[in-house]
Amino acid sequence: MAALAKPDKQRLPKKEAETFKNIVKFYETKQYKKGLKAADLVLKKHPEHGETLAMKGLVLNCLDRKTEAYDHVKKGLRADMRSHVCWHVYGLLYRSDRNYEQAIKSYKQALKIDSDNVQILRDLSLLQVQLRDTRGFLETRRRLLTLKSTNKMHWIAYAVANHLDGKGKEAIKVIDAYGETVKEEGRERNYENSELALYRNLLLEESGKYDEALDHLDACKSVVVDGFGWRKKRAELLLYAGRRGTTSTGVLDRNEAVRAWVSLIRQPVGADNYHFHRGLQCALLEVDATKCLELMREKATRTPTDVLVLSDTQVTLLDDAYSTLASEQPRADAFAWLPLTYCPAGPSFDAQLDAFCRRFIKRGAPALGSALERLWAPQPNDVVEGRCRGSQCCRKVLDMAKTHAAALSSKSTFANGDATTPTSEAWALYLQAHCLEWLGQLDEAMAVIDRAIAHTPTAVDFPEKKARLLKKAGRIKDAAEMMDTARKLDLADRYINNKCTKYMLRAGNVDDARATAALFTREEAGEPEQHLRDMQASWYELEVGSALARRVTTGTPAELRELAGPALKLFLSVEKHFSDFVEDQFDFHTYCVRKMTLRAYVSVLKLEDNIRGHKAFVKACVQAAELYLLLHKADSAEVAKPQEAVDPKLAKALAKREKAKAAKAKRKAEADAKAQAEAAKEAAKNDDSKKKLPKRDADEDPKGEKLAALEPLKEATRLSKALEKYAASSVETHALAFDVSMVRAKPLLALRALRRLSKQSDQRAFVVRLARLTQARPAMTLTATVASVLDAELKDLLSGGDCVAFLRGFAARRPLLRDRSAAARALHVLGASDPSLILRADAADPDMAKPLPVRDFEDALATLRDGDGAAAGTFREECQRRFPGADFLLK
Amino acid sequence: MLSVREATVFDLLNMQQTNLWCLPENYNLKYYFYHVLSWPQLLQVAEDHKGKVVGYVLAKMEEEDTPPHGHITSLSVLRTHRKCGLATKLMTASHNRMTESFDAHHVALHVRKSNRAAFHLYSQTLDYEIRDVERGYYADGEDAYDMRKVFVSTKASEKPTPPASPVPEVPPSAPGQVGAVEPPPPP
Repeated sequence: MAALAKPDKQRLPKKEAETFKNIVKFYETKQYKKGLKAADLVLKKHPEHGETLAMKGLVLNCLDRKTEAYDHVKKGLRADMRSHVCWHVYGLLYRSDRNYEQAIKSYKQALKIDSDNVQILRDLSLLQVQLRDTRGFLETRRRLLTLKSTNKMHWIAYAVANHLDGKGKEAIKVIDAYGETVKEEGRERNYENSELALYRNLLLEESGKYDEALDHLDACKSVVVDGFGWRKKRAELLLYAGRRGTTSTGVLDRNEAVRAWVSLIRQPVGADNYHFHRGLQCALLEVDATKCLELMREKATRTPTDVLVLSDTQVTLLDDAYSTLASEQPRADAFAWLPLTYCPAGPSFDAQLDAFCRRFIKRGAPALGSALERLWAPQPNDVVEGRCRGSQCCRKVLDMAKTHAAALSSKSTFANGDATTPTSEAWALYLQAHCLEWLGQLDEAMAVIDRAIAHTPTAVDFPEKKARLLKKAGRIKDAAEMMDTARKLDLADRYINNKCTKYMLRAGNVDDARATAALFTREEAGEPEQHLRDMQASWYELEVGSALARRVTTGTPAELRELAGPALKLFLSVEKHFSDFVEDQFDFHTYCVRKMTLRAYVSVLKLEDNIRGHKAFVKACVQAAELYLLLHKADSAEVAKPQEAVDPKLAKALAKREKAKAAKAKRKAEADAKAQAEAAKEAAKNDDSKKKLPKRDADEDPKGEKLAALEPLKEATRLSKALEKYAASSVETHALAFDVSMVRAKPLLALRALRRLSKQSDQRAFVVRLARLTQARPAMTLTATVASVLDAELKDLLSGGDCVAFLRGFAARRPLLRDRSAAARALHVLGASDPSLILRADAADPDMAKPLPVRDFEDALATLRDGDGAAAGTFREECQRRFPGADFLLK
Repeated sequence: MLSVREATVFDLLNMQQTNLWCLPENYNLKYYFYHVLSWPQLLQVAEDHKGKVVGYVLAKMEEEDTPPHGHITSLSVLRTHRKCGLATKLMTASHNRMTESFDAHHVALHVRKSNRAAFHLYSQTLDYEIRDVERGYYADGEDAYDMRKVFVSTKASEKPTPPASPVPEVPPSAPGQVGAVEPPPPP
């Protein structure tokens, strides 16, 4: 305890000291009402007692009386600056408001007074790990372990702290030192010991000691209850350590690694695990250890044979393995699929492909087409030489589907005579439509899917597919209607309901979409959108937000604000979900050390470190920032308007003052409303400990008016900076950073963003902005230093030439329509429009020999409309020919 | 093709979105965190060749109860990926891990009375039996079947009973925190 003598006022007599202890107890057991009463009892006699004041504040905070809470805690602290309790409470208050930096400062202040206080040290450590101050966390955990070395949790937490600070070796030593102290218990076979052993093994693996890790696995086998995890790890380590063991002749018995993976594949559901197939292929093909590490990191259904060129012997070996496994498990799809992924083009491939299609058509599995796309659209590193890939493969499937559909129609069997069910004809047509869709032959696809609908009018999948085809044909409104038809066939299915919602939103029909989405939200959860927000349905918020944002085009600032508000509310709600996701980890810092689920815990920390790189976060921030930029532009235009001989500067100042006034009034109104609500809540509540969920506050800003009233450029800057910090690999991030910087008149920041854009493989955002910076440069007033940096860098980006020539070079290298649109737009910025770039662009993707999507045409037409009327007319006819009846042609 | 595997922490956001696309019973992300950080072995996902989560099972253990048993919190497969046997595979994988890692005696779940397809899967394919009917179990007032599948134990009696799981530590000094996890949301 504090060594310094306390002033008398801060010492409580025995009776009150007892009552004070009760306050703490009530607080800890969440009996806040009682806590409040007890505090008042003490304060009646000792109104200046600091720790009681602070505790009262803490209790008030739990009762959602924030303002009073801060008042009391601050008052308490002023009364008793030398109390660690007061400082601790101050920190807790900040912590509850997620103000971690301030909380840490307060805890540290408390620890200056009472350096060995375990409670405060623990609270401090939680914030340190939450903020990834791994060095500080390690130090705090070290102090805690020193203070209480008999507590298992302190050992484990110290080991984890070492791991997080990059000291894996130390972490292992700590675990082992702990093991020494609990010899007997440590050998017991139970979940905790099992998790700890496998965590130790992970530490060995991460440090690259695969041999040692293998030996350790054998040594800890007796305590491990996670047998699956153990067997999988052993099989992996055999590959990484390059240990194949004894070799034998049978294909599935070739060596130890093969045996390990085969036994994993043979367990229930093992055949569907493609990680196991990666392992088996590495083992069978005797891939060297370093390459194994790379191949085993592949995701989803990718396997080594996707990227390895195989010899004939190797193909035979794999065929042998899979046919043996298939004979053991004839129903496992993987053994029918995997040979297709490496089989050389030829009759054997065709026969297997046909069998595979029949297998899925017979079952009526709609995912057949999307599975085959893996072959139609190979990924960059895939081996394609000698294998049947791309549109050639798609056309092959199309022929097969056609033949089977015809056979099924005339004689109710597949073309080869195999029997099947009556719905197979419709599924053969469905596959046929899928192939035509992929090839861009949308009219034919629609004719085929109509036949499937006529065949089985009750199936949801067929009108769903038709809606998708209509969407791809640019007929967005028809698509939404068709999806609604599909929805009505199965009203109990949320998936089709969501699809319908999404299509309605794409068609701009927000009201119907909202009503449709509301069919699956719970009434007692409040407003449908509130429910979706609570459930963190980002996809919905983004879709509605985008639909609303598309309406924000022209108008006075006030009109625009009114339109933008609801969209901003949705986008920023998504941003908030991600803050909540980050906050979510807090409780688990303690929990996992108890549960001993340390492997999963360290992954959660890794996930959290990058969670804001998620595409939903990026989309939300970009779209919100774009709206803010629009609002800023409208404001600037308004201010720039000549106003009855008023000095523009004065007008600006006036406008600012008006805005400040309005904001102030609004704040006051809010504060009043809040105080009222608080008072009402207080009156309504009796015993809060019984009530689990406090009644929800009314939405303070249902239309997003407050969000739309914020200083737009400041908000746009905030969002842009967040993206630069968390999503540095997205094109959108740097495009936005450029746009914001230009508006803020920060040419060097714009330049930096441009540099980053230039390194992206998608160059469209880059060329347009390059032109904008070049065009804006002459009018900029810059200091000599900035000017010289900017000019030198621009010159470098343009490879020394002028911008028009650069863009023409770009267009010549990239004949694809979407790149040409970007080039045309960029040239237009420079006043050098050239519609022929678009008119003579490639309208098919050369890699896949299939037509480009409708949005590329829509974009190109919009570009031409901005520049050249006559060329736009010509191109419009071209669009009309390709996409008759598309909505964008009706504008 | 589709891969069925143990879920990792990195699948959770996708699992949540898949759940929101398929089912009316939804949970916030913290509840998924709670599952994966308590029983990481029990969560399974099915993904397509692009890594999209097309099905998942979210499961837990009731360890305080004797005998310890599993509970299926949520199972769903995107409509586009039906007829591939994914639900059965996901469930089977989770069942196996319940017995292997947690000595589960049985596994329980609730299903809407009107959901014939799911009921069929549980009763016919996966050998669940009806234990009870819970009136008005769902928020919209619908009844639920309380179903259970007893695992055929091979060596359960030889194994030591696992210790009761530690109650999530609630930092007493953390204001506003109900506990390490929230109570399961009402189904």
